[in-house]
Amino acid sequence: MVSGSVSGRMELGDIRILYRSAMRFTPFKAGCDLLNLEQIEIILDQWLTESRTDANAILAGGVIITGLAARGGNAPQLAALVESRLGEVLIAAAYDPGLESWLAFMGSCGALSRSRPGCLCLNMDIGGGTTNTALGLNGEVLRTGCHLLGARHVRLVPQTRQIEALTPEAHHLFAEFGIAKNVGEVLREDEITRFIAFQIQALERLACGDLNFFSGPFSCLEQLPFHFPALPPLLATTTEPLILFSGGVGELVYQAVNGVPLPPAGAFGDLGVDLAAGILRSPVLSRHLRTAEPENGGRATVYGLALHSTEVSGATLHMPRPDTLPLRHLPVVAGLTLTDTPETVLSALMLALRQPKGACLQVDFSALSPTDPALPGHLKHFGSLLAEGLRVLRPDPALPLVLLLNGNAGKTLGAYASDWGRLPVNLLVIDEVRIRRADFVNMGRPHSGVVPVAFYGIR
Amino acid sequence: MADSLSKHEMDSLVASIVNMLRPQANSPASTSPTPTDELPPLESIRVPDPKPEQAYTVELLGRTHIFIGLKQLLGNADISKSGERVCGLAASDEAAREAARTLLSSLTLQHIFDNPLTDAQGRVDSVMRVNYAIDHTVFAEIAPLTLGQFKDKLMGSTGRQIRRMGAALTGVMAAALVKLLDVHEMLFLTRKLKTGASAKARTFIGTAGTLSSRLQPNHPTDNLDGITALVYTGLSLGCGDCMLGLNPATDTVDNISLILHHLDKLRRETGVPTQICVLSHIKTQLQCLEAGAPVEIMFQSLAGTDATLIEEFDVTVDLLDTAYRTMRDKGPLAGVAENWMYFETGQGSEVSYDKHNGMDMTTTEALCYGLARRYRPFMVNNVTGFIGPETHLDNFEMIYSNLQDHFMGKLLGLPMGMAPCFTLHSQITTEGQQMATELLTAGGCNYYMDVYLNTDRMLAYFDTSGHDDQTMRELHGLKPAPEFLRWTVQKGIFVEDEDGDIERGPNWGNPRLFCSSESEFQRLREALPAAYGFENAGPRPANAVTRLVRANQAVAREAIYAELRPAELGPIPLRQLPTAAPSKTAHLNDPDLGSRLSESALAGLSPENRDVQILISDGLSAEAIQHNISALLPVLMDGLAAHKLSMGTPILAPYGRVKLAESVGTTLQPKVIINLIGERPGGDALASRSMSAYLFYRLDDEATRQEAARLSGNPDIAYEYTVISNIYSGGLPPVEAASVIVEKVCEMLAFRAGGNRLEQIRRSKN
Repeated sequence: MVSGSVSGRMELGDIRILYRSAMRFTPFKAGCDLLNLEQIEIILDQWLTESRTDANAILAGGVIITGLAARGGNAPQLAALVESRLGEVLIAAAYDPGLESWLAFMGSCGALSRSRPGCLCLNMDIGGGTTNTALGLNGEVLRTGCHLLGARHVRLVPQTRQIEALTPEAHHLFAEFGIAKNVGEVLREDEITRFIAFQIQALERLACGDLNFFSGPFSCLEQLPFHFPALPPLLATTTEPLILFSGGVGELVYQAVNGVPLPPAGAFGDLGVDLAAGILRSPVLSRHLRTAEPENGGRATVYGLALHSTEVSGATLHMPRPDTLPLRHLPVVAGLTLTDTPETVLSALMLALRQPKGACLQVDFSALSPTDPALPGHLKHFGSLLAEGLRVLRPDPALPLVLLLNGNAGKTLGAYASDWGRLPVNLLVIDEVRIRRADFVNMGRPHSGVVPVAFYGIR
Repeated sequence: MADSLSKHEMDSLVASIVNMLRPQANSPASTSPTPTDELPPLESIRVPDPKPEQAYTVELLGRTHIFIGLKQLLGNADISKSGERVCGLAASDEAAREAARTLLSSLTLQHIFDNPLTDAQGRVDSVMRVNYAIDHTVFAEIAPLTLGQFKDKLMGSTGRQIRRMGAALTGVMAAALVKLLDVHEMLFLTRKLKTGASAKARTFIGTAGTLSSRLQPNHPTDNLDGITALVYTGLSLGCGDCMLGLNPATDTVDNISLILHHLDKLRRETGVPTQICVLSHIKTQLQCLEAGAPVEIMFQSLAGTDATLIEEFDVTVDLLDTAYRTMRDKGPLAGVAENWMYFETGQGSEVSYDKHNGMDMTTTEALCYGLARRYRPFMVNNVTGFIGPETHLDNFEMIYSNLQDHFMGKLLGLPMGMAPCFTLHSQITTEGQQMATELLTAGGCNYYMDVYLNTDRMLAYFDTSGHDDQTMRELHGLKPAPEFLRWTVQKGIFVEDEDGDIERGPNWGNPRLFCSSESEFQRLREALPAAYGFENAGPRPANAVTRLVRANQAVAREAIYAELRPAELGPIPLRQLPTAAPSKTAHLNDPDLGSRLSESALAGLSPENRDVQILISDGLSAEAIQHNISALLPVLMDGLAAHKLSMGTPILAPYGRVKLAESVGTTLQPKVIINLIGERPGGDALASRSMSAYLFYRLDDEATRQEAARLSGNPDIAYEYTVISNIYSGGLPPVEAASVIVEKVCEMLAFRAGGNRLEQIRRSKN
């Protein structure tokens, strides 16, 4: 963690790569789609040893299980295994395509998007099995999508056009386009051209926010629908999104733009090179390749995970019992504002206190400036409503109730909501955390007075 | 023969010839009585015994003027400056000043030598003693001259002759002389001293035809990305040939080492030929060096009296000697650099600490130079104007003092750069600062600072910028140091035509030059507070950028001169009490007045013996109070009441200072005084609204007081205090600060402690 740029608040920053493992193929159990957890555990131990990492010393971070691995029938068990091996690691998500798209955007073009205020940025992270799409403005993601488009649906014997394996989606598309080929057979160039042309067309339609394309015969490709959100009229009429690419295919595209010739087709035992060439030829997809270049190429999601999956709270928190932390898998049950009615506040409290392991409420401060003369009054009123509710509902004193604020008033709100510490409740108020459309939140142990916070189940 | 040499061999040959021809860098052999690197032991320096003060009398145009002692004579001979007015050393009028100058003119250098100025106990302190390490052979030649004769001799001498005589002068002699010079004479003589006031580390600074710069990438939180952004910006403006030199926000070994390694990384990555320095305390730097950090140049602030140097700066001559020798033997540039020390000084620090031993600001400043000379430094610059209106009130005082300092430093053989600067609570303006810069450049100044758009957000003051440095280079036909210039040409920052003329190149002023992508630059830019823009117009910032800078500066200055508006502070009743400062001007110019309640206020008060007394004062920003109190006070009082603490009615005291809390505490005798006070505005509008909360714990029982005295080393300690700063919407918002204050007050009362002792107790409890 580093001291923040202006206010001095702590932030995650100065990221350095201390260890990078060798690439390993995901181990599956023979003859089925189950992950080989025993084998994976051995690999994890090996990585921890090689990197000299004390799993308990990890402040924050994440593991994201993506692509074909996420489709394994026991992927949730893998997430649980990672959590148990890596102590406080904050995110271990087995299948969260919205989160993946969000992370790829942040790792690829978050900074670029901030450097071009008012310009929509559309990041397409094209990997082996999926294309994770995210549309953002001023560094914030507005919409995410995920589609089963990618380089490795057709696996080839390296350097050849001989099919080694096909995903169900590839089988489906082959049938749609009359490509009567199976494992062991060699694809003709015209068959590859047809297959790639479809993928390019699908990417182009995504770039245009065309929802209809993935209805009908191609609906099986849609994991998370993507469409452009309603934008203010000025933006909607005058701005076309800046199209950017990340992921392995994206990296190939920008290498070619920068003068490095594409490798021979089939070089990686898949259709990645063909897909990259198709993007370079597409007038729609290639229109911004020379005017803007994102960062981190094929590692955008990993960088996004390292840099952006975890937020750091403010330093002045209401945390009378810090040993309550870490908290994992806390449901985010409601969002409130300082001016909500007593009924709304009470309903949210009741909902939160019904959760057996505790819950989180998000409180949006954005309507009031920090120096608004009305703020102390609103804060006192809102805090008193919470205190009154807690007094009436009498929760289990050990049950954690977390308020997450996007403003810097955690200690004061906590003071009012706990009647200056006199109520017997396990209330934590964590501030300076952005409001997220998410189902769950994880919080790590306090570190230098701040708390790492990570959301998952991004909607 | 040349035909048979490769380009590399040819370059090497040319470099060798240039090396042979150039003057020796700031060498002791040319100016100092000690031909080796060894520092003469203090006890070996001969200083005459102090003598009783004598009266200096002169009749001038029918009026008799009497000055008691050399200190008073020197003070009266100077222009009137705020610092001297406050401590009673300024001449009462112009006639008195001219009388003092007439008297000074008649004193011989031998007389000045024979009457060393002493400290409060009548002793010669170590700073004065070091000043007597002069070239006695040369002094013998000039000792019989009166100062008037000596001045005339200098005016007819060459630069080499002046330098030779300068080595025979003490700081007091230089100060006495400068009081006889007018502006033209100061500039004329200083210009002659340009050649020879050079120094060498990786770069060779101060040669004829050059104007160098120290790139000062200060950041309010020492954020490494922010520092990188400022370094890239400065380098792109052709600045930094003296050094990349940062004033840290946090002076710990870990932090200083971290920044040093970061600056070293930037230096290596960009390939810029320069040196790095983090201007922390000399003790911290020595520890960093010991721990392996790249302390390439050793920095320390100097003062002209032992009382200030030792008691306030925590530095002795012995420690400076140790640092010098350590760097000589173990510094990363050992064997490369001929000079490795860097000193900063500035008129007025001794006066502001009230530890000037009765001497005027110019004289104590000259004594700093006499001390600096001992270490053959790579850089010396002053920051006269930094302290505020209590030492330099307006443009004239700041400009004139800068010219004096530049002359005195060069005369005593130092490679002087300058940092004409100001704070917003003085009446000094950007225009005055620019005039100072022009005059100093005419006088052959070695270098200036490069502070991004003149605004140092960390130190909350205004200094020269990279744009100013380039403007000076273009106006006066100057170039950066040769090694650095070659690098800038390679980078396209400057271009050099066939005639050797230098112009701004295509990359001048473009910090993106050093970034691998638009995204990287964006991330760096986001770490900069008040990043007003990077667009340029010629050697100046683009008008839109300048307008933003100046508008923010104007709003920030407004905060200082604004008066408190009690009616707008909310519904909570306040009792308004006056301080001893009768006006805003008096408050700004004399900090002591705002540190106590007025006699009339004190007469109406008696002990109330509450747990807590809240005190609100404008300090240096009434706007900070106006923007924060109405949000903070209700929550603060709720919290104190919830903890069942008794409170006196909050006090509003216009024109107050931090120490006013002690005056209130001693009178009302609460256990804790919360002083909510406006901070000195920095560079932008938002930060000018920043307030601090000083929480004073009154040591009301003797056992606790003894414990506090033991820890602090101050036997007379009466209060311990804790500060919560940066309270404003861009830092710690007032509504949140309130409960932070409540929590801290409860801790103070529970542990009967404040400040460092409170933190120690808390740590031991955890």
